[in-house]
Amino acid sequence: MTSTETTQSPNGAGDNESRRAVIIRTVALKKEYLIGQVVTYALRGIDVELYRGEFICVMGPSGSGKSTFFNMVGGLDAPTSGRVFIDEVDVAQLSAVELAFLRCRKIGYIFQTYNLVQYMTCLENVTVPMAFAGVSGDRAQQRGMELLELVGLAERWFHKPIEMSGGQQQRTAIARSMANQPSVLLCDEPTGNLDLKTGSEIHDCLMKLNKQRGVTIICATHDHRLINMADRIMWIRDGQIERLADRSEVTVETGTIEGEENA
Amino acid sequence: MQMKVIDVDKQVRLSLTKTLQLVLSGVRFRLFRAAITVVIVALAVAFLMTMLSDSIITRNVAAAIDIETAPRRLLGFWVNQLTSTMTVQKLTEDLTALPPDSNRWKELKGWGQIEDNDAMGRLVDVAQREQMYAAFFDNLKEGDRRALVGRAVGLDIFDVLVDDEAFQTFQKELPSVGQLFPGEGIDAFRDFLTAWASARPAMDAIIAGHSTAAGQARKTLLKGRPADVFFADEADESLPGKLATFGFILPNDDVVVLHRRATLRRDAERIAGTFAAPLLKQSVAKRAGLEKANEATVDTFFKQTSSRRGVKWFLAELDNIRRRFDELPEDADKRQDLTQEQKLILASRDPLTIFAAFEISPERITEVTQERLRDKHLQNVEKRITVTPEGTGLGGFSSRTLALIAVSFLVCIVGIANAMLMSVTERFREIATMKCLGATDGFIMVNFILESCMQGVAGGVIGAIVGMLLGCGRSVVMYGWMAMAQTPFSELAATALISFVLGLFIAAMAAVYPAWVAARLAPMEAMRIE
Ligand SMILES: Nc1ncnc2c1ncn2[C@@H]1O[C@H](COP(=O)(O)OP(=O)(O)OP(=O)(O)O)[C@@H](O)[C@H]1O
Ligand SMILES: [Mg+2]
Repeated sequence: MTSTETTQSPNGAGDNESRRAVIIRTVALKKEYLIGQVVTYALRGIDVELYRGEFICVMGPSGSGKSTFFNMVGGLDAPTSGRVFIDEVDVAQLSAVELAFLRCRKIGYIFQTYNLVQYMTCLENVTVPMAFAGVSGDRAQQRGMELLELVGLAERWFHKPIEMSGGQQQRTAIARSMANQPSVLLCDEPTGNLDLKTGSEIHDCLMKLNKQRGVTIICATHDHRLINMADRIMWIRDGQIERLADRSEVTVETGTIEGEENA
Repeated sequence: MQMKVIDVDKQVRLSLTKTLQLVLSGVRFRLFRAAITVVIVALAVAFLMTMLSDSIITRNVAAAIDIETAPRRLLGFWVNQLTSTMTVQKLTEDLTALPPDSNRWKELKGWGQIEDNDAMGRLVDVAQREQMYAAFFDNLKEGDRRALVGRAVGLDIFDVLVDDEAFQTFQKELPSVGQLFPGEGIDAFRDFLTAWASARPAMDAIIAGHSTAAGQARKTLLKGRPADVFFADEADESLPGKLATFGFILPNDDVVVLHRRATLRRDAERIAGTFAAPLLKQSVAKRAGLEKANEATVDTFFKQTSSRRGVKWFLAELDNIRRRFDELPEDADKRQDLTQEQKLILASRDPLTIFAAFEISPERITEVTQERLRDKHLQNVEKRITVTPEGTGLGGFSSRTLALIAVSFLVCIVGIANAMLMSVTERFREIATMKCLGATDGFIMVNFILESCMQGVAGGVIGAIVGMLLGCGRSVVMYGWMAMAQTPFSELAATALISFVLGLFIAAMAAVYPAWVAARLAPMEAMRIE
C-alpha cells in the first residue's frame, strides 16, 4: 500500500507486474444441468480474469451458481460450453491423469465439511496430497509439520479428526490444501459450519497464507466480514456475474451490503 | 494466446508400499465391514476345502482298503476257483476284463484247448460285444423285451436270436420299442450273432474244461477239506505245481499270502468255536456288561480277547470251566436228573475240548483277534465309502457337488460385491476428496481391489484351515484311524493352497465392479453437503 505506482491498479495494492498476471480465466463459461426434461442453467456465461496473488471473495444468494463456478474453475467438472484456463492451460484439453496432476499441484481445495480422512491423524491427512505428488517419508513429515505450524496446530499433529473441533479440522484442511504449494486455493464456504469467532480464525488463517505465501485465494462465502479482507469481490446472481468490484469501491455497512440480499 | 501444456511425466505413481499403507489404515478403521467380507470368503473357501479334503482322504482310504483287503479277496477268489462251477455269464465277464497273456487268459485258453492266440482274441471280442448288447436288453422294460425276444432273458436272448425267424420278429418289433440300439446298426448285431454262435463251442469247451479241472482238483487235492483250510495247510513250494496239473496258474508270491490269510481264518474259526459253549457265552456277556447271555455275539467275544489282559482272562475262564467239567459225575451224559447248571456245563464241554486240541498260544489268540477286529473295521469303513472319487481334487466331484461349489462361489462374489458397493457409497466423500487431492482413477481402483484382496487373503487362510480341519474331522469320524494314517499331507497342503488362491481370486473379482464405480465417482461430490 506504500507504493505510489499502484494508484491506477484496480487492486489498489502490490507489485503491478505480478498482480496483473492472470491465473484463472474463463471464457463464456456455461453450465446446464438436465434433470429429466427440465434444464437448469447454473451458469449462463461467465467471463472473468482472476489475478495471481489476489484474494477474491465470491458472494451471491443460495443457488446462484457459486459452487458450480468453483467446480468449473477447480477442474472438478466439465462445463457445458465455454472454456476455463488455469495458468493458461485449457482445462477441457486435459486427460484424466493430467487433471489429477492439476488438482494435485496447482489447486488446493477447502470444503465446507472439511472432508478430512477420518482414520488418519492430523499430520497424515496433511501428507496425503504429498504422497500423490511423490513426496513421502521424512520430507513429507517435515513439510507437513511446517504447514501445521503455519495454521497453529503443530502440537496436535497426532490427533484424529473426531478428536478436534470444527475450526481445528478446517485449519488442518487448510494445511492439507497447501501441501503441494498450489497457486490457487478454492474455498467453498469454508466457515459455513463454524461459529463467528472460529470463522474469524479461519479468515485470518487464509489471509495469512495470501499475504505470506502469495497464494491466490478464491473464497465463496455469505460472511460479510470477509469482504473487508478481500482484494476484489464478485457477485453472482442467476449464473451471471452481477458485479465485480475492488474493495475500495464497496461500502461496507453492518447488516447489509449493496448488491447482496439477505439470503 | 499461446497454450501451455502440463508435463504429466512428473505425475507420480504411488509405490505399492505406500498404497498398501493407505489401504491398511482404511481397513483397520472399517474392521467390521472388512470382517464381513473375510467371513464370506472364509465360508466359501472352507466349503470347497471341506469337500476337497474329504474327497482326497476318502480316495486314499479307499486305496488303502483295497491294498489291505487284497489277501482276503485273493483267498476268496481261489476258494471260488476250486469249488464253484463256471457259467457263460461268468466266462464272458472274465473274458472282457482280461489283459492278453495274463494268468487267467492262459488258464482259460488251456481249459478250452484253444491253440492260437487269435482264436482267444476273437473270443474276447465276442464277449465284449456281448456285454454291450446284453446291457441294452437288460435295460428294456419287461414288456418290450417280451415283444422282441419272447421269454428269453440274459444270454439266452442271443441263443434265441441266432434263429432266423426269431431275428425277423426282433427286427420287425425293434422300431416300436423306441430305444436307441447300441453299436453300428442292425447288421452289425447280425454279424455279432453269427460270431456269438460260432464262439459258443469254444466257450462251452472252456467251461467244461474248467469244471473237469476243478472237479479233479477237489478230489485229489482237497480230499473233502474246505478250500481255505487246504490253503492253510499246504503252504509249500509244491502248491503251484500241484494246481498247475489241473490248469490253474498260481503265482509263487501268492502262496505265502494265501497261507497267511487262510491260517488266520482257520484259527479265528477255532477260537470263535469256543463261543458255542454256553458257559463261556455267559461269562463273555458278563464281562462285556450285557444283561442277557444271548445278547453277546461273536464280535462281543472278540472284543474281549483283543488285549493281552483279555486273553489272560479268556484262558483263565477256559481253565475255570474245565475244572467244573471235572466235577461232573462220570456218567453225566446218561443221567436224567442233572441240574440246570450241570446241563450247561455238559453242553460247554465239547466246544472247549475241541479248542483245547489245537493248542493255540495266547499270542496267537491276540494276533488273530486283532486281525479279525481290523477286518471288521475295514468292512465297516468300506461300507461307508459311498462314492469312490476317481480323479484328484475337483475332477473327482460329481456334477452336483461341482454345481454346489460354483453356486457357493457365486453367492460369495455377490456378497462381497454388495459389501464393497455399500462401502463405496459410504465413502463417496472420502473417495471424491482423494480425487481432489490428486488421486488418479487407477489409484482408487487399485485401492479398492487391494482392500478386497487383503480381506480375501485373511478369509482364504481362515477358510482353508477351517475347511481342512472340518474335512479331516469328518473323515476321522467316518473312517476312524485309517483316515489319518492315510492322509497325504502334501496333497492336502497343495489343495489348501488352491482353495486359498481361488478365494483370493474371487475376492479380487468381486471388487472389480465396486472399484470401477468408485473410480468413476466425480471429484465434485466432495463439495456436496448433505
Ligand atoms: N448436480 C446438479 N444437478 C442439477 N442441478 C444442479 C446440480 N448442482 C447444482 N445444480 C443447480 O445449479 C444451480 C446452482 O447451484 P450451486 O450449488 O452452484 O449454488 P450455490 O451458489 O453454491 O448455492 P449455495 O450458496 O446454497 O451453496 C442451482 O439451481 C442448483 O439447483
Ligand atoms: Mg454452494
